[in-house]
Amino acid sequence: MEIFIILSLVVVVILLVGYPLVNPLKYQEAHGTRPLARDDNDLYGKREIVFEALRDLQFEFATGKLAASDYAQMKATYELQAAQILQQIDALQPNKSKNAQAVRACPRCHTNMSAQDKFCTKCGAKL
Amino acid sequence: MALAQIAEVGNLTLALGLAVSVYVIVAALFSQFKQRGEFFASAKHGIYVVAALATLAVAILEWALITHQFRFEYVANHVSSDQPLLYTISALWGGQEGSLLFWVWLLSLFGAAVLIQHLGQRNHLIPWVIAFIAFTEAFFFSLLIFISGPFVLLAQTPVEGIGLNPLLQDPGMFIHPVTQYLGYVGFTVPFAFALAALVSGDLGYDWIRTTRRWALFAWLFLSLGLLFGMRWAYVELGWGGYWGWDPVENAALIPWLTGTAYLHSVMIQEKRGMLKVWNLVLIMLTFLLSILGTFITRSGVIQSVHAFGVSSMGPLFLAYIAAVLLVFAYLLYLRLDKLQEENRLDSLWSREATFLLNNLIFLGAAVATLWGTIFPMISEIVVGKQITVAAPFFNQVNGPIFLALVLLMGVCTLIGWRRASPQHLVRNFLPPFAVSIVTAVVLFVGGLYDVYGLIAFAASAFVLTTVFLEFFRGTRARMRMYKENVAVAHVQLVNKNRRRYGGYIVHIGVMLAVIGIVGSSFFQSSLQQNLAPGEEATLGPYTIQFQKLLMTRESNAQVIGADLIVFENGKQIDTMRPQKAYYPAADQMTTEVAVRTTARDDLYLILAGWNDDGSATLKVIINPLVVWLWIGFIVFIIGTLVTMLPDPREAKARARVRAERVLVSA
Repeated sequence: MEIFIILSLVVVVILLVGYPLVNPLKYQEAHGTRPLARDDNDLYGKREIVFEALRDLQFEFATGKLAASDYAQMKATYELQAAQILQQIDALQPNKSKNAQAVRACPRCHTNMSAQDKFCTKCGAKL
Repeated sequence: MALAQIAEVGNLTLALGLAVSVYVIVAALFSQFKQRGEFFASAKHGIYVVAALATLAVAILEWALITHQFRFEYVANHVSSDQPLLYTISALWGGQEGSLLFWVWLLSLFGAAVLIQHLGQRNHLIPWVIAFIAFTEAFFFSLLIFISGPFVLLAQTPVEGIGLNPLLQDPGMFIHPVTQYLGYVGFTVPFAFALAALVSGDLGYDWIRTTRRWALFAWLFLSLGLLFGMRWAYVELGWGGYWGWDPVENAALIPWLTGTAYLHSVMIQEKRGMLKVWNLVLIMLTFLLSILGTFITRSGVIQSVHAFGVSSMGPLFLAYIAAVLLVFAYLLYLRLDKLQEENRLDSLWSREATFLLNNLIFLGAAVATLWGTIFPMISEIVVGKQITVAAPFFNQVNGPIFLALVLLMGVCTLIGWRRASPQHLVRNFLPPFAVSIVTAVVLFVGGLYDVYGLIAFAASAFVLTTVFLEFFRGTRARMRMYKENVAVAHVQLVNKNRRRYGGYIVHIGVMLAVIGIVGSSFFQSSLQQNLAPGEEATLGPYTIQFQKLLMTRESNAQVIGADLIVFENGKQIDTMRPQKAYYPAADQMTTEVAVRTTARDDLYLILAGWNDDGSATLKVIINPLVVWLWIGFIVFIIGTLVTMLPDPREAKARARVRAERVLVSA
């Protein structure tokens, strides 16, 4: 009786743990150990940080914690940073930059925009 | 099935737990190095299997406790047949072996939870994470198998068990260890991710956000552990206070301090890409201090009211801590070049700078408390005799530190991220400063002359005003920016930035608690008097009239109580009955105090002794404002829950980053 319980417990554990090894093909892709793309400079993370910073700045200014001059200066700094990061990310994504070449004009100010843009970067009109 | 066989099955679950944990380490690492998905899948199954095995072990031990299988040594030592069911269940974490099993059980469940959380997601940190969790599981399984077995059988079945220590037979002690352990064990997860980030070299955006809610979860439960522990000490230990700088209390406080520092400094990494090394070190410290806390509580190295068992676990715990520390330090050294700061401080007058100061102060408090806590151990090694550092040391050192933290809490709220201009700072500073001065003057005129008390209350007023101003200004800004009405703007203010405003709610809770702590520690008054039936004692506005002594029997104790009538300013307001209980099974006496709580103060009565002539010795204590400590804790917990709510914007950003990285790798 005792032997039976011990044996069955051991067998159940081995079966549960070992099952994927018997069926390696099924698990090779599905559980993907392949790492995400190298992101040595943490570009995507930096992009989110800068976006967050811009949102923050606006709110700090609205709640009266920032002087207008400081606000303008820092906003410009972060916008420049954001542009640089986005450029570097675009360089990583060849497919995307191809699509980006499709162009259409803004209905209001007629500036050329990429097809993916939702708003005009010059006048803010909806595209 | 015979008892011996059930014990065998219990031991088998532990042995299999150890074996599978070791297998998970090997399989997870192998899958990483050789890029073999099937081994990763197998390791994941292993994590679930360990959770099932630990659950089975807990179930067996609970069964033995509840059905009074006294042949189990653990059952005989921690349960008696007249013990209430609630405390029979809680005996699982009432002793060393049981609580170690409880520890590994929680960890195994957390391991499974991490996997479920990441179902269907590709996260290359997970193999390292489960390898470390399995390593820690293996350590605790080894303790249970080789040092401190919960399924050891006695040669003969005793007729009756010793029973749970009567001090632990209290609802507070049912819940306190559970929350404390959830906190201790919970910090394993963020630390495992930190370690995984170090190993994989992916130290940027992802790990700190993946673990944010885990760290908050663990921190919340450490806080709850402190709350229930303090509440238990207050009502059950019967000395009139809630905090005595006992080694085990300190062991719970120290990781809470470093954890609090961590929760603040991660914000700087998230917002500015700064303090990367510092955050890794803080989470490492918090995790290892949690392990140390478990060890201090469960080994009895430092004599304390909590240390109910002494055993030879010391060297093993130290070896585990040393191993983790070494590996961590080595990995950190390897990755130092990847941990360069992305930004510099824009200004010393910025929230970042105040956060840095806050971190240093929290760490200072943690180091001071740790030093005082392990000093007896060190003195025993060096001088050969235990020299205990008592409460005055901790109060003197930590009092000013905590006051500085309170002030900083106010200043920090007033300063914006990145840079504060002097004129804005002054403008923001003035209203709360004025409120704190008015508070001090009003209290002084009202008859409060204690300098420290005045400073502390004025500081509390300062901080509370800054927080209310923050809500006020934020709401106003929203009303302007989004044309919302007052109610909507308030709700949306918190809703759109749950972390920031949840954090402010936490600060309100802390300040309420500070008011309670200051009131009850600076302005406590007490008296002890022997009263014959019909005689009265007066303290402050209260007069207590002693009626008679009363003997009763409970299932497992003899209880003697003093019937009292309480008058306030000559008017009868209540009857109270402080008691003492004698537990014959454990040959131990406990004090059951009677407490009457109002917003102004607690009337705290202790039956200190009684005489054959029917007279009783009563200790009467008035603890001003102490109820605000508990209310503050409740507010604190609500605030923490708000910060833990999922943040849709953050979740979206994280998903975006992941998706793009997957796209690029394809």
